[in-house]
This record gives sequence, C-alpha cells and structure tokens, in this order.
Amino acid sequence: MLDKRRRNVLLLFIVPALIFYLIFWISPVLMSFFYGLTDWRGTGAYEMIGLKNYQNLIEKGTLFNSMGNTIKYTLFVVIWGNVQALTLALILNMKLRARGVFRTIFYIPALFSTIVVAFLWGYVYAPHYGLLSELFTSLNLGTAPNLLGTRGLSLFAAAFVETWKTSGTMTIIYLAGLQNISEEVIESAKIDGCTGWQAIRYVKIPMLSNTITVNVMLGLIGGFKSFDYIFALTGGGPGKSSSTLMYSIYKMAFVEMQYGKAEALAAMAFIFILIVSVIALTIMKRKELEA
Amino acid sequence: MKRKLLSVLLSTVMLGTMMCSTAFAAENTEAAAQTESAGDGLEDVSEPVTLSLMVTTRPSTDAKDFYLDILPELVHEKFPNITIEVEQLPTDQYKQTVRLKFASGEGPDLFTWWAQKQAEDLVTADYVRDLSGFEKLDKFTPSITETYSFDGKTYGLPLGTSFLTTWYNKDMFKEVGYDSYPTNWDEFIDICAKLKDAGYTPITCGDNSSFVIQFAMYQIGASVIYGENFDFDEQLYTGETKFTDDCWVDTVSKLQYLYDNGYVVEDSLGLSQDQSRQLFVDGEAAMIFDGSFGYAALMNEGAADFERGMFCVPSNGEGEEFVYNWTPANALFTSNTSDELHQQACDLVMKYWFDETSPLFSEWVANTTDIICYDGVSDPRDMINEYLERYSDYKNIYNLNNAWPEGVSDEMCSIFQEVITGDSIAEDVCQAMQDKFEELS
Amino acid sequence: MKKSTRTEIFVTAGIAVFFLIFLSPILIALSGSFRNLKDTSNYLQLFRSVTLESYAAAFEKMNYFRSLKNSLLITIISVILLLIFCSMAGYAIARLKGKLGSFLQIFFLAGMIVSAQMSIIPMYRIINKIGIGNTIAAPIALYVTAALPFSIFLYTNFIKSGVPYSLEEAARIDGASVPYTFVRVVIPLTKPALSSLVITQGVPIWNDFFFGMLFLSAPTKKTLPLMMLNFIGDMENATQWNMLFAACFLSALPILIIYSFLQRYFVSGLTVGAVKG
Repeated sequence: MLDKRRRNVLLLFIVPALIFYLIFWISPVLMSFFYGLTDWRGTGAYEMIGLKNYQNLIEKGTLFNSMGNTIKYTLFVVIWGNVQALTLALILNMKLRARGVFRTIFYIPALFSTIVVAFLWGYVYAPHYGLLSELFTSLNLGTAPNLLGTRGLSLFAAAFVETWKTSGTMTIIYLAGLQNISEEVIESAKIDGCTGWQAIRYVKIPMLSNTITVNVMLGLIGGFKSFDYIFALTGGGPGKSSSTLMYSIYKMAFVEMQYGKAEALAAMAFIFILIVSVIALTIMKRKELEA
Repeated sequence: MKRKLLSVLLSTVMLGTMMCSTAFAAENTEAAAQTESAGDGLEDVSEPVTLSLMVTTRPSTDAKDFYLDILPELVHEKFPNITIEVEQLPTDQYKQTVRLKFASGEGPDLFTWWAQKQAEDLVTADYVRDLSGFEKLDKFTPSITETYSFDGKTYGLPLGTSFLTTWYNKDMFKEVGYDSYPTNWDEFIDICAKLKDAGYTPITCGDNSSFVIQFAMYQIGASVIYGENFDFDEQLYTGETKFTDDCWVDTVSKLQYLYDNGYVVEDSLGLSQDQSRQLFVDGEAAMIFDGSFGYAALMNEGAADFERGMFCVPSNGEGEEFVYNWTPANALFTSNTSDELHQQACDLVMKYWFDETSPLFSEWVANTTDIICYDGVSDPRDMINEYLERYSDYKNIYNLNNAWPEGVSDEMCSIFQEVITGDSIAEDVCQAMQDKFEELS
Repeated sequence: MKKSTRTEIFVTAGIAVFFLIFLSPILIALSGSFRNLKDTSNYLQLFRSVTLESYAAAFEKMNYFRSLKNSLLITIISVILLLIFCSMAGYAIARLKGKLGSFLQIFFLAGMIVSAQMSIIPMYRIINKIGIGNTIAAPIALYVTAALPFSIFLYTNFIKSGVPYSLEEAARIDGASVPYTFVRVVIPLTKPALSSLVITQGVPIWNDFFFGMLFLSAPTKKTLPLMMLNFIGDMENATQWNMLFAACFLSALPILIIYSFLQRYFVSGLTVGAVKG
C-alpha cells in the first residue's frame, strides 16, 4: 500500500518536466515528421506526396554521404573527446597549489561563442602562415597539411575543434565523477603496490564507468548533431566531403527551401541516431555492471 | 533594359563628383537647413505604434549606426507616435528568421530583401505589399526598380546597387609592364603569367568561404555567357538553354584554368575570405576577386602601401563583346500581413525616408555602403564612379544567381571546390547546377 | 605523504606549458581584443598594440549593462527551472521500479537527438499559439526543455551510482515522506551533479543566440550574444573582429567569475567518502 503511494508521488515528480518536454520538444518533432510527407517549401500551400522525399534522398545518395560523414565525425568526437577530457580531469584532480587556477582556465574554450572559436581555429589551420604551419616549420616537419582544404581531412579538423570546445563540459563531468572515488580506495591501492598508472587504469577508470557512459553518450549525440563547426569552418566542403546530416538538413530547409525533403531526412536521421544510441547505451550499461 | 542602366545615373554621378569633392558635406548642411520644411505634408499616425524593422548586419566602427540608431531616432523625432524597433542579423540567420516569421504570420513591418528570384517566394505567398503606388518610385533608377517587380507590380524600394570586380595592386601590375587593366582574356592571362614569373602570387581566393567562388564565376560568366546571348537566363526556364551548354562549361573551365596554372594562391581552400582579403591588403597577392562592397575592407591599410585599382575580369576574346557585372544590392519591403495602422505608419516612414529634403534622407545617403540609385544622388567614392564611367559603354549583367532558385549557387560553389581539389571537372559543375536547377524550379 | 615542493613546481610548470598550448587560440582572441579598432592585419602577430579602444566600442555598442541584465535574468530563471524539473524527474526515474523507469529514461534521452534547427518551424508556431512569443518566457521555455534530456540522464545516472538506496530506506523507516527524503537526503548528496549541471547547461544557455534571435526582437530584451551578432558580417560586409573579440571577453567575464567560485564545489570535502564503496 505504502509502496503504491510512494510510486504515485514519484510519478507526480515527473509531471513538470514531462509537460514541457511534450509541448515544446516532442510535438514539434512529430509535426516535422508530418511535413516530411509533403512537398512544402516553407511558404505557401503544400501537397501530400507520400514517401517520395524518402525515395529521392536514398536514390540521390544524399542520405548515405551525409550519414557516412556523420559517423566518422562522431567516432572521432567520442574517442578523442573522452581521451582528452579524462586526461584533463586527471590532471586537474592532482593535488597542486595552482589547481584552482588551472581548474578555471581550462574551461575558457566553453565560454566562447562558436563563431569566434571557428574564426580562431581558422588561423590555427590556415595554410602557410597559420599556427600549425608555423609549428611544422619550426620543428622542420615540412609543410603542414592544408587541413580545411583537403577532402577527408576537413571533417576531422572540424571535429577536433568540437572536442576542444566541449572539453570543458566533458572534463567537468569527469571531475564530478572523480569526486565520488574515495581517497581511501586510492590509498589502499597504492599500499597494495599499484603505480600511478595502474591506479588510474585498474581503480579509477572502472570506478568511473558510470561517468564514462554519460560522456560517451554526450559525445555520441553531440557528434550526431554536429552542425556549428561544419557550418562555420568547412561549409560542408571541399565539395560535400564534410557535409553531415544536420548540415544537409539545414541547407535543404533554409537555403534550398525544400522544407518537406529536409524533414524527411531529419526523420531518417532521428531514427538512425536513436537506434545507435540505444545500442550504445545498452552496451555501456552491461560494461558498467561488469566493472 | 539593363544595358541602359547607366545613362541616367552617370550624368548625375559625373556632375556630382565634378562640382566639388565635398558634395556631401554641402548636401548635409543644406538638408539640415531645410529640416523644418521636410515632410511637412505628413501627419503622424493617430495613436502610438511600434514598427519592427529587420536588416542584415553591416558592422561598422562608427559611433552611430544608421539602422540601429539614426533611423529610429529621426523617425521618432518627426512622428512621435512611431517607435521603430530594429533587429539586425547576419545574412544566413537573417534569411532564416525573416522567412520563419512570415511563415508563422508574424513578419516584420519593414525589412530589406534581395532582388528577382530571391524575392519571388515572398511575393507569391503574398507576404509583401505592392508598392507600385509609392509616389517617389520613379526617382529610383527604373532598371533597378524593375528587378523588384513581379507581374508589373513593384514590391521593393531599391536601396542601392553594387558590382563584383577584381581588385588589383597597380604597383605590381606596373612592375610587370602593365600600366592599365586588361581588356581581354589573353591580356588577363598574360598578366597572371608575368606576375607569377616575377615571383608574385597573382590571385588570392578565400575558397574556404565557398561563396567567394561566385565572385570570380559571375565576372567571367558575364562576357562568356551574356556576350552572345543576353536572354540566356529566361531561356533556362523554357529549356532552350541549359547550364550544360558550351558557354557555361567555358566559364567554369576558364576559372579552372587559373587554378590549374598556379595563378591562384596555393591551398586557397584553407583560406577564409577575411584571410584572403588580408593577403591582398598586405601586398602578398596582386589580385582578389571581390566587389564594390569590399571597399572598406580592401582600402584598409595593410603591411604594404600600394595603389589599388579595379577591373571586371575580361573573359571575352579580343574583339569579342565584353559584359560586366552590376547588380541590385537590396531593397526595402513592407509586410502585407500587418494591420492598417502599422501599414499607415510604414508608409509615413518610407515617404519621409525617401524625401530628398529630409534629414533622414541625407543621413541614409551619407551612411550607406551601397551605390545609391536615386535620382540626383552621387557616390562619394571616386574609384567607384571612375569604374562605372569606364564601363558605361558596355552591357552589364546582375549577379547570375539572381535569376536562379536559391540553392543553385551553393551547388555551383561546392562542386567547384571539388574541381580545385582535382576530384571533378568543369562539366560536373555544370551538370550539378542543371540538376539542382531542375529540382528546385 | 606530502610531495616535495620541487616536484610540485616541476609538475605545475609542465601543466602550465600544456595549457598555454591548449589555449593558444584564445591568445589570438585576447591579443585581437586589445588592438586598435581598424587593425585587421594578420591575427598571429600577437599584441601588436595594446589599447582598450575595442573594449570601449564593444561596451558601448552592446549596451553592456542592459544586455548583461537580460542575460542574467534569462539564464538564472532557466537554470533554476531546469534544476527543479530535472532533479525531480531524474530522481523519480532512478527510483521507479520496473519497465516504466527504463522506458522514461529512454523516452527523455531520445530528446537529446532532436536538434532545434530541425523542427524550428513547428516550435515557433507552438510558442506563438501559446501566446508567449516575443517575451522572455519563450526562450526560457525552450532552454529548459532543450536541456532536460541530458540533465535528466546525467542526474538519474548520478543517483543510481552515487546515492545509496539504504540512506533513503533509513529515512523512510524513520517516517519521512518522499518529498522530504528528496529534499533532505537526495539533494545534498547530489550537489556535484547539480553544480556540474549549472555549469554545463548554464553556459550554453548564456551563449546561445538561436532561440533569442527568433523570439526576442525588441532591442530592450536582447542578451549579450544577441548584441554580438551586430558585429558579425557576411560575404559583403566584413566582420568587426576586434570588437567581437572584446565583446566575447566582456560576455564571458561574468560566467568566468561565477564559475571560478562554483568550481570550489568540486574541490574535495563535499562528497568524498560519503558514498560508494
């Protein structure tokens, strides 16, 4: 009896979030999917055209090109983003007197607007005289690759900027996770003869498994939704070699005014990302239990 | 029609510049003196009303911005019942926001928009008001006003014009033996070759910002496509012409030629437009494809001190017809969806704005970066006037994408990037454009 | 076991060098913000001149204090609502037994996939239909909603791993109600999660211009990032980078200050040893 009442109270707890979520998030999405079945151009009247948009997207290869790019981008963001953030978190968790300062400055990239970040990295990547180029010259490495101007590289150049910008957020989540590992555990591991690295590998990382799940999901979904840096740094180019799903959707909807077609692509993207996310989450959860 | 665009404007331009270089200062004081009489016949609206005005950003370092500060102030001064709320956004966000607002039935009362094909969807959807009855309409250069007309009705009041052009470093040109700008393709190529031999980078392009590809393409296309067939664009819609026709393939190939022969800065795909402009200003490259709108940025002081000049890429063979680019910039539109009071207020604002004697008019003239196409107004920039005068005997063509559905130019730029990387050829660009054109129209 | 001072200096210097490289792009912006307004020469020439001209201009043009007030108002309201909604929902989802709990977790998580860009037209219409268009309620509602999926996910995860059920059980046996247990036991234990939410979700809200651009057209309601849009150009008009850089620092300063205080929450003492064995 008591449990049932508890359960009802818990359900009530969900209501405020659920109302906002349904009104402002779920219903617009459902309405969008409806437009995916029409030939709407963003203004004026439209007609129902069934699955023609879907057919067109699959036949023309738009879907697969942008999906392929999105997957590459996402893998980079998830893997490199987490390695970078975990390293930063471990550094920032060291007991140093200057820790407060470091813990403040590492977060600065997250504070900058994307458009400025893109401009700054434009100067890092610029051929011949950019920061990277200067670095290559001073280390006698020859000419630096033209990262933004080369097919196959521009996508990763943009993804790197994304990990740089989001490093702050991911690192904070790792830091919060590290706070949950008690000192005694580490100390006892050291007494047992663990080296610093072993303590990280066999004690800290397994205990962070939950936090890793959060950050992997964050990277995964951030990568799938990648738009800002593609928009500002590569414009999908050279050619269409760095055109991601969200960038293609944006271009279709707001440049070419093919709103209906864009929503059809959005619907396919949604389902694809949902499936991948659920699979990833299930795997991560299983690993967590093992850890 | 466009061919005659200059006749009216030029006489005034000449007159203006010749009379005195401080024409503007003089005009301003004169206007100030007339303030009291300006717009006397205009009565304020009956009750307080707030108008929304949307414009694209024109970032400046001036203390006061025409749209953000001056316009609302002067209008409010004249019509105490009218308050103008201005919203400025960068072009991409601007297009998206304005269309979204109209699609939801909440369009801005006044806003600026682009010509021809780009305005068509707004007109067809009945979002914008017919301004054919506007009393000062005939003061605007007719051939420009015409680009905002659909089915004989005019929907926009032209705020100016601009042209795409090639800025060049006169000192470098002299060094390789050219005292003047080229007048045909062979000369142009010769200059590029000589500059390259002399160790200079002939041309800089910020191809990472893919839209700059248009700047070169439309200059080259002007003579190659329209020299022979001035009705090419109309025929695109009847199927008589196609992007895959020889003239387009030739246009794209000519641009490709510049890349293939190393006349364009190496790794241009890694350079942004800003970085490319800086290379030119610093004297690192002899030419840049840009426009009259680049005036402020390109006249800016750089690492090198040199004299600048402009010419339109002469893609014509010797003795063949030369056509240059000159295009409407944008125009003021007004919403069809707002209520009567708002429309009344909009009318008042427009009447006051385009009254030559009003202080608002002179502020507009003094602050715009476009070339104003209003009867009796001359541009204060000698270089611009000299340029338009130089080409006044030739035909001119608008920015080519004005005739296409939006999206075709993006396709052109992105496939041309593949040409630069060597993954595609000129024919691919043309085919992709034709496909996109058919898909969108 | 105290580390020797020398090792600490060595390690600190190493980390400092690392951060100098890691943050070098920021240096470009910093040096740019101290330039003369019209100096657009290669931005890699660091600190060519040091003047506050760009800051003064940006300060003036952004109408700094008014925009700051708007930004603070919108961000604070959004974050408070977010924390209330997400902690309640997150806690409930974590403690609901059976299929419903896991369904709700996935249901909310799915919202992360939605990008506002892709369904903005219907969103815009709904906001207008409800009648909150052109008020600060519109962006606030969307900021809260947009942040909910991830926040609930993070919070639920944190409770599942970091808040032992036994503590709540104990409280319940003592006769405490669910809301009481939530406020008195759960909230204090989840402070690291809540403070990281404040930062990770608050900062994007602070920086966002997309919803503001669509729903706040009145100049008096504009936030700092919206005012920054005025400095951004297009293919024809060049962006005023020096002013934009200065504006960026001016806009980042308030959160940097708030953050430097808040980061102390992560510093040990709060939760260490309290949970997880």
